[in-house]
This record gives sequence, structure tokens and C-alpha cells, in this order.
Amino acid sequence: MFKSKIKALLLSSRHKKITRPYPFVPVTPPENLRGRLEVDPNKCIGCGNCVRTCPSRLITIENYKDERIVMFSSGRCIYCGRCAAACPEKAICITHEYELATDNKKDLEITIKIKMVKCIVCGKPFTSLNMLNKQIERLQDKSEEQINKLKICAECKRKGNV
Amino acid sequence: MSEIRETIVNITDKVETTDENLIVYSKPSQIKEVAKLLVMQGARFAHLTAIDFINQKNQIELNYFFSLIDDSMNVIVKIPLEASELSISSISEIIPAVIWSERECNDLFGINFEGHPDPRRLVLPDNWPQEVHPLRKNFSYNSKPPESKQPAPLKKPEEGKTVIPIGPFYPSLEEPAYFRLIVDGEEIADFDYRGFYVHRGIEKLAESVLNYQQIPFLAERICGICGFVHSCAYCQAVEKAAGIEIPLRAKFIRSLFLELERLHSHLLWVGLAAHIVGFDTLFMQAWRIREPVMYICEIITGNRKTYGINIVGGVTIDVHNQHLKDIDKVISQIEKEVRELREIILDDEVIQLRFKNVGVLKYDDAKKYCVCGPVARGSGINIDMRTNFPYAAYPMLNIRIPLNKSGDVWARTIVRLEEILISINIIRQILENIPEGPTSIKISKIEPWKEAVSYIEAPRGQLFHYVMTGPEGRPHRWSVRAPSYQNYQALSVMLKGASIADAPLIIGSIDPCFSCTERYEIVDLKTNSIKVYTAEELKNV
Repeated sequence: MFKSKIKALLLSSRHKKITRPYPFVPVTPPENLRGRLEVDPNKCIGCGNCVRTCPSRLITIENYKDERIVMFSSGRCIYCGRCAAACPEKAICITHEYELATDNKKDLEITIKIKMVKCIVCGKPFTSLNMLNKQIERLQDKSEEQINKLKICAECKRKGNV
Repeated sequence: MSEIRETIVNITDKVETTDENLIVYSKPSQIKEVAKLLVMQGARFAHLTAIDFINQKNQIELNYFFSLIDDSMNVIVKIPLEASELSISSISEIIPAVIWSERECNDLFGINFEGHPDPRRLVLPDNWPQEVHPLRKNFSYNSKPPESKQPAPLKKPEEGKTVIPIGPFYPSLEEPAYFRLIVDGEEIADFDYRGFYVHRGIEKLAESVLNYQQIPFLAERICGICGFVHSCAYCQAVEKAAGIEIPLRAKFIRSLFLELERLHSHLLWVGLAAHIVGFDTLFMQAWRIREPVMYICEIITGNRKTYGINIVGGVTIDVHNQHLKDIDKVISQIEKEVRELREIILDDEVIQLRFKNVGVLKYDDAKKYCVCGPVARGSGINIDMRTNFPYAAYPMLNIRIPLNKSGDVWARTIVRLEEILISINIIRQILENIPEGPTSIKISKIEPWKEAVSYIEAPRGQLFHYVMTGPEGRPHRWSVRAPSYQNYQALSVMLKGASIADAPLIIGSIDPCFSCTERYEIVDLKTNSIKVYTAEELKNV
């Protein structure tokens, strides 16, 4: 009986204080910590891969006039990092920032606006400027004719073929 | 196996065999015979769930899952019920473990089980309308039916006996559950449970909105302590259904985290058990010993808990050599301290007086209620999914299963302490044998209408996930049965005849996990019916 109590005493006396004095002394986050999202509006091509992979369904894409609006309502974010892994342009970046408590929901919202390109036939905005530039870059034959082909929306292309 | 096949063919319509499933197609009138035969042949009941095929063929299909432990085979008994006549006889006399599953099917699918001993509500809240069944496909996940005011049916105590309510806010576990102890003086005569207050509608959400790769993250949030087992079991089920073979390194990483999780979950339990009997020094020391496991997981995955690394097709992170060295250091330290901790517990007379011969679950009762995990092993049942249905990297590892025959709280404590040390041994084997290679593979389209059952030995016992793939890029049915779901049903046996003072300890000894058990809810419970009842009962007391 006493033997076990003495052992317990020894076990607990060996360790004095193990509670970390956070938040008075800051804690360095581990290397793989997934914190706040950062989105680079210049890199985003508005492809929507992140929308399809996000488990909490917090990313929305909407077309408004000649702009494509990508909105991250990060208040619901579970910090899984799937959007960053899915992004083909590496526009989404996961930072180490973890102190995100706020009394204003807007602080956690990220809205980016991407310029849209108008179809040269019908004049409707159909793709983002970044996406178009990417496609032009990928072209092997960079002739005027090929570039102009990319500037026609799918609907007009179909009509033209018919 | 072949014996079962031969005998079962005579009384059913059709029998199919796949790699690890024996699928039996049967009629509703035959269920009792089939169940009797399976029990006689030593099959163990795992779960009962329904699948809604009303849009496809105007049927709801009942699926009874049994496992043949010795052959590593599942027996799935499929019984179609016409939508016009959703009724079948209950098999609870033959298998008592089916009682909760049948109540759940009644709640969520509206299937009537004739002759059920306790046909009350289990999952749905008291103010949920009678004829709305949320897991049917015609019920939209985001609709909110009008409230109906019904009194919650509760067990009435016999003359001369009183009711002591514990909960819904339970003193030692931070989750809501409502235990009603019907007592005769100091002695517990009967026990009633009303839980499922944290039912979150997880299965419904997965079946109606998410896609295959999003669900692992939802699955991981089923439980706050052992979430990794859920995402792992789900991913395995989908991989099995789709015929995906994941890289060996991914399997080892999954096993590694499953064992790390068992380590910290068992240490948490040891602390809680000590806390319940008032030994708070031990409680704090056990949790201090547990902390480095959380740190190491945070270093590797970025999170202390809810690692978020499982996807269908593998894992998203890689474990570096430096991490392996760190883990080795941590587990060596923990091994040393757990041995000390074990000595302290085993020598302590006060703990022995509180734990021994308390909450006894005999071998036969444990078999009858199909309990699992440390509760089953504490009653002498040799069952461990890691060896019975080997998954992840376990076929390549050497696992010892601790057994204890006395079936009391003390036995469960010894089994859990032993399992911590065995887990450490398994982690060492993983660190030595982890192969090089990729950690995930890309998956292509998953064929619809394929099904698979996946088991995992969670810290609390046998975890069951069933997935039937669907045509819309998400499962048509995803069913989860947490280990505590079975263990709870045996609580009435453990509590009968015990004194009130031991009740928290006995309830604590099965390591109950309410969130796991009560996976899915849509409406939060705002009626004050519980409060009214408690007040009434308090008056009686």
C-alpha cells in the first residue's frame, strides 16, 4: 500500500511544472502546422478545383459582370490543406498563422476578383484573363489565328462548327 | 465456412461468395431461421443497417452483418422489404445485441420490427415528427420538419423502487448522455439510457452532399479522441469497394498513427479512471505522460489530434527519418513511465478495492451482447480485429493479445495497461520495417453499386464501416457502427446488482464515447422535456 503511494510521490515529484506559459511566451508552431489560408489573386485562374475538393464547402465562385469572384469564408475552414494541394497554380498557400480568434467574421473572409475576358464573337465574358494567358503560353504555335481561337467561347465555337 | 454455406443454401434464395464476403439473399419470413443458424455456427453479429432503394426498385434492403472471426469472413444477409410493407420480425430473442440496431432502423428508415422488446426511440429527438425518417433518400438533408410535442417514453420503475437520474450532463465525461438508474435501496435493479443528444447527421450529409475525397475529413470528426480510426476505416472501405491497392508505405503510416492514437487514448482512459475514484495524482501524471504523443503527432501532421491526413488512395503526408527517430525517443520514454504507472496501479490497495469484482461481465454475457475491444478481452474473449481481419500493415506485424478472464473493471484496466505496452512494441516494429516509396496513388472513377465492409480495432474495440458506392460520385450508403455502440448495450448487465457509488466507474470502464456512438443528427434538442422529467424524478427521490 505505502510502497505504491511512495512510487506515485516519486513519479510526480520528478516533474515540476510542465504547463507551457502560453500566451505570455509565444509557442513556435511545428513545421507542418496548417494555419490561415493565403490566396494570391494574381496567380488564381478561377478553375474551381479548390471548390470541388473543400470538405467544408466554404469556397464559392460566382461570375459578376466582367469579373469572377472567388470567396473563401474561412470561418468554417477545418485547415485540411486540400485546396492548396489541389490548386494547379499554387495560388493558395497555407501559412503557420494560428491565432485567428476574432469578433468580426469579415476578418476571416478572403475575396478575390479575377478579370474576365469577353468572347470576341458574342461579347459575353467566358474565361478569366489568367486562364487565357496560361492557355496562350501553352500553345506551341503562337500565331494570331490560334490565339484568336482561344478567345471564342465554347458556345460560339459550337455554333461556328455547325 | 463451407459448412455454413452448405447449410444456409437450403433455407435461402441465393448465396454468393466474394473474396471476403458471403452474401446471403433471403426473404423476410426466413430471417429468424437464418439468424439461428448463423449463431449456431459461431457467427458474431456486427451490425444491422438498411439501404434505401425506393427510387431504384421500390424497396428498402435490410443488411445484417455477421463476422466469422476464425475464417476472417463477413456474412451479409440481405433482405429486401417492399416499400408498401416495411415490417419484419425482430431477432432480438436470438441475438440480444441487435436491439439498438433495430431501434435505429426503425427511427431512421421507418421499418417496423415485430416483437421487439423495447420499441422506443433511440436516435431521433423527442420533438421529431413520427412519420419522418431522415435517412430515406426522399428526405432532403437541409430540411427541417415541424416540431411535434410528444413525451419521451421512459422506463417506469416498479413499486418501491426509485429512479436516480445521472445526466444529461454527466459529471466525469464531457458529453451529454442521460442514464437512469432504477434503484432498490443502494442496489441498482435496472438501467435505462437515453442518449444520442450529439447526433449530427454525419451519414446523411455524406450521402447527400459530399464526394468520396471530402468524407474522410468528416469521418475523422466523428470522434474527438479516436478520430483517425474512422477516417481510416472509411478510406479502407472505399478502397476495398473500388479495388484500389494503396502503397505499402501508406499502409505503414496508417498503422503508425492508429497505434499512436491507441497509446494516447488508453493513457487518457487510465487518467479518467483514476479521476473517477478520486486518485487525481495519477490522473494528472497519466495525462502528462500522454502529452508527448500529442506533440509528436503535431510535429509530423501539423495537428495534435484530427490529423487530417487520410484520403482514399493513401495518406497526404510523408514521415521523414528524423520523425521516426523522434517517435522512437518518445515511445521509449513513455514505456519507462507507463511501467512505473502500472506498478503504482497494480500495487494500490484502494484502487483494487474499488475496481475488483465491480461491473462484472461474464464470458457468456459478453458473447451474447457481442461486446468488443478491451471490454471483451477483459471478459476472456479472444477478439482483436488486427489479427482477425488484418488491415493496413498489421498482416506484417507481430501482435500479442492480452486476455483476462475475471470480467470486472480491474480486468479491463489490466488489459488496457498491457495494450499500451503492446502498442509501443508494435510502433517499434513499424519504425524498423517501414518501406520506402510513394504514400498515395491517384484514384480514377469509382464504379457505382459496389460494397465493402471494413473493420478497425479502435482503442475502444471493433469499429465497423460499410460503404456502398453510388452513381453520383459519393456513397449511396455509408454506415458506421462505433465500438461503444455494442458495449453500451452490455452496461445493463454490468450495472445490475452494483451499488450506486460504483455506477460512474462502471460506465467509465467501457470508455464510452458518445460522439462515436451517436454519429448523426440534424436538429438540436431544445425542448425542455428532459428538465421536466428530471425535476419530477428528483421529487420522487
